[in-house]
Amino acid sequence: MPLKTEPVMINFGPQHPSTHGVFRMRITFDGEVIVDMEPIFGYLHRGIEKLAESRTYTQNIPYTDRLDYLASMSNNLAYVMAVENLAGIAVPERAEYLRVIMAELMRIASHLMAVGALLNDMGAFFTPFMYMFREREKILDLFEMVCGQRLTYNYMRIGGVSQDIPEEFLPALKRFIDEMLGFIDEYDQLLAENEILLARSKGVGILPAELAINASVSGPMLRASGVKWDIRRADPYSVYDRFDFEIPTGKMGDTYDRYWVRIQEMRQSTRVVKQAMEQLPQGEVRAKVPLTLRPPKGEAYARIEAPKGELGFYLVSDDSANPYRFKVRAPSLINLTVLRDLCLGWKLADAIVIFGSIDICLGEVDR
Amino acid sequence: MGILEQFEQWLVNYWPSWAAYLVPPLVAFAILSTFILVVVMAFIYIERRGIGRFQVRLGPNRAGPFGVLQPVADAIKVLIKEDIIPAKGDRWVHWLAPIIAFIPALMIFAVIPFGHGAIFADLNIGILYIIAISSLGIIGVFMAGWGSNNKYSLVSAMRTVAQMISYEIPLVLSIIGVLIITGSLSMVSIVEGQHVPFLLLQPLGFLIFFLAAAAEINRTPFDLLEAESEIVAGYHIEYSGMKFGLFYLGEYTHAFAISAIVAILFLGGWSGPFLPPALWFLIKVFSVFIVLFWLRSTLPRLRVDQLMGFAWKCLFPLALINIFITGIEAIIWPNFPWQLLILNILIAALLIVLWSGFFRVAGERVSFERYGRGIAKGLALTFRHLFRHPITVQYPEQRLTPSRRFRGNLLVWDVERCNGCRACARMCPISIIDIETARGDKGLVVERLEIDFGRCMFCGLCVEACPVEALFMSRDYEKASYRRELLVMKKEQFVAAEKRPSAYAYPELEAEMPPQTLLAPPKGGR
Amino acid sequence: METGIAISFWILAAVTIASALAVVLFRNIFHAALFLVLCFFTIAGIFVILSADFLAAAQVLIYVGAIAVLIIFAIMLTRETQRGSPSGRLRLPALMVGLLFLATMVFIVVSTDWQVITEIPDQPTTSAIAQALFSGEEGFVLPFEIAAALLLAAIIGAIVLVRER
Ligand code: SF4
Repeated sequence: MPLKTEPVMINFGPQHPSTHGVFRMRITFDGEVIVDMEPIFGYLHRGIEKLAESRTYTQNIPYTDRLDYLASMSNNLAYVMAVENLAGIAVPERAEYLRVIMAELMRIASHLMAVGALLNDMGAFFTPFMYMFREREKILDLFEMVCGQRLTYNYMRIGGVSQDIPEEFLPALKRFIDEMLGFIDEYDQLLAENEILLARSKGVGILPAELAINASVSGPMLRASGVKWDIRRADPYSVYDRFDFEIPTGKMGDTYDRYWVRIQEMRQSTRVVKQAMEQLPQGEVRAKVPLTLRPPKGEAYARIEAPKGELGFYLVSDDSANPYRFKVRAPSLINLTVLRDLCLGWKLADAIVIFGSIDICLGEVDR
Repeated sequence: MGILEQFEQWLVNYWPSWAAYLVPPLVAFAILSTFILVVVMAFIYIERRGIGRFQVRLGPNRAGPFGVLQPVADAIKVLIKEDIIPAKGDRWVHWLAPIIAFIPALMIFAVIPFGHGAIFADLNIGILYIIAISSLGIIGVFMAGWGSNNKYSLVSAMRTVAQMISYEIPLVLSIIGVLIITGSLSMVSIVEGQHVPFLLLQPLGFLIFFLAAAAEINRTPFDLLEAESEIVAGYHIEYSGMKFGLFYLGEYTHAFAISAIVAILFLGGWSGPFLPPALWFLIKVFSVFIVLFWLRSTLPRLRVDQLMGFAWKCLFPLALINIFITGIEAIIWPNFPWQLLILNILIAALLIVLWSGFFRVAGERVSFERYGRGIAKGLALTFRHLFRHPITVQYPEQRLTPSRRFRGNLLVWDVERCNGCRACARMCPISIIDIETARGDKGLVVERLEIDFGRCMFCGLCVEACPVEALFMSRDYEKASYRRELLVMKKEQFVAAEKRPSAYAYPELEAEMPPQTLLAPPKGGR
Repeated sequence: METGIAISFWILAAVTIASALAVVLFRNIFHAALFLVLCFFTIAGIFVILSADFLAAAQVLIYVGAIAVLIIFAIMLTRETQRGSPSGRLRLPALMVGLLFLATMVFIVVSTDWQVITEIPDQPTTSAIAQALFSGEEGFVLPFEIAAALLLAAIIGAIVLVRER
């Protein structure tokens, strides 16, 4: 005799502590089990793609800061790469190295936030979050030293970076990298072995590799499902082909693997930064590019491995000072599309954790 | 004879007998509630400061010396807030719920001895009374969940029932071991019967009781009723003002009560050498509470089915086994010599190790395979953080120096150098630089300059665009005003403003600036 | 003291009866269930007056803490509780059974020869109850064990019924 209960529909968000912004999920429950869920986004839509069409190529750089505001450097990088492809501009070598250092630091910072917030979603009372924040703060200090801002860097320029690093930067960076490895080990102990964390994340929200590929999921989420795909290796850009690093992959594609892959990637990122620091050449950091650039007619696409996945910018030029079309391939948005498949059949509490493990940034999802 | 009876005897000489009968309890009640209130405030203070330190923050330290008045400030804030009743809620149920949730927590204290004879009523069913009374609080939670007409609170109410009923059972069963040893239900005789703290004689019972009690008072990792990240605030999501205050107070009163019960049942209550009994008692209570919030600041939360599984598959059978073992021991060694504690600790360790193998999640043996080693490591880590420097600063008094290239929240304009080329205005992505020029003797002169710093995003492009080095970012980082138009800077203000240019885009300025404060690792800490 | 006890008894009795009536008369079954809780609680109060402290605690623990809460839980899972209990076909039979039960109770109360004991009740009652329940000769060991077995059977039955295959 099966017991029938009434399904309940609950609106999660748009204002909710664990939606990481203004995101809404309409979840239908049977008891505590999710039988249906509909992600609804668009609450943070600012029309950046349209706004960008009426601004010059340089003026758009600060706008890309506001896409994934937890990884502004990476957004800057992908965008200026697209413009450089469009206009055929060569970047000085030192600038390439600086870009790599910044992008990898940004990856660490973004993953720190992802892991910390995930733990918070699991119900830890802000402690891991605060520890992660502390480490991220050190990275922000470094960024502030270089470009004067802590969140919206606007550091990359078409043809290089806005200015060279100050002399105290390299020692500070070196100290940070040395500390960081120890930090990751320490917190790996706190988190990766915690029975409650394991119970909450192992086997929860499994994303099979096939589904991940079909849904065009990218970044740590894809790698957690066991697919060894990293644009830094698969389609090297900048100077990534000169560094030696590994691509960690998960086994099952569950929440724990997504968490684990991020931790491992932080380790790899420190390796890359270390190598880049050693190889850093002297020289110019910015090619001579007019502030108001008029690229020839044509189109260009540039993609990078942003912390959250494949971030691409597609630009079309009509020979004027403003892009004719400015399109962002936002990894968060595309990774989010599998949310429903991951959550069905799991419990309310799992939905929150799965959602957290996707690691989205609403600024990028809604644009 | 307790203090109460002595007071009553003495009063009879002066007042009519009914008054002598009624007054002492009332007086005692007043004293007791004040005392509870003070302790609860201390709890709140210690928890907030303590969690702050666990999280390498400073914690609240503004109200009064070291922030000791913070709970008072909190209370005042809660009291003067608007009281909201959901329009479609069940008015009466909504209104009564906080009271019903709070009173049982208070009633528990009637049988808690703070010292020799310092007890409101030494009932000979003391511990049973406590269990019975504390099961009442659920009804308040329940009513709140129902009366709020909110789905989150309803979910929370459902979870409450499931959780409370499940954890009540191991809670009660774990006490039975203690009762077998002392042979009495009275709290006073339980304390007096403890020659060795029962923590050592009943290690398993203690563990079960502690965990189940943490679940009873919704402490992490069992705080599913509130589950901030899932159901926001759970049952009290629709409460504000005094009613919310009552829930909050009730929660901490209950935490106090549970800490007191743990201290009495397993830590020897008020007994201890040298110090006065009441002080010993308080020390024990506070240490139990500190462990509770230490757990809270370290652990994530269990899921609802794991929570139930833990109660039924782990705590419940272990509690039964514990009763069984204690029973056998009672037959073999009726006076429970202290040497038994070695045996009992061994048995407890063995059982925990055995049992962890049974507890599986999602087909994989993850949860207790490690016998809680991961949890212990986490606890050690948060504990170490207590001694690290907090990363937050006491802001207005203590300031950090921003980077030399800081893009602060004003622009610095050098009138002398400006040649009115308007490159900045053209460069600004959001076109907020409003500049009008006129022809002067030596080229263009700026007549009007207006920049709306309420909209500026401090991207620094205008500074980079300036060909004559007349525009700088500033190093200020404080700007607030109650009116938007005050954020619009005019030409005169630019000229008059104190100039603290930053080295952004002008690295040659860097030399004479103070270095940026970096978040350094504390000495000694890693 | 005597009058104090008498006063509290009458108050408790009045509240008990009033809340019992509320349970049957209220349309909103959630409210009815809450009154049931109150009713159980005042009965515990009456036990206290009778110096049956163990019984009172057990009453609160079992009836209020477990049974009433389960009833409320069941109500929450039921659909459309706000509209109140629907009137079923069994109204008339229910009334008959109720009246019959009432008549029996009244008959028993009237026909019993109530005796007032003069001796002071046992203090503490706990061990006396334990003696009565568990001692072999004049105690109730057998009924107690039978009840336990019955409850176990009921639990297993419930699990078998609800289990999804
Ligand atoms: S800092 Fe950027 S937004 Fe502000 S006035 Fe200059 S160009 Fe415009």
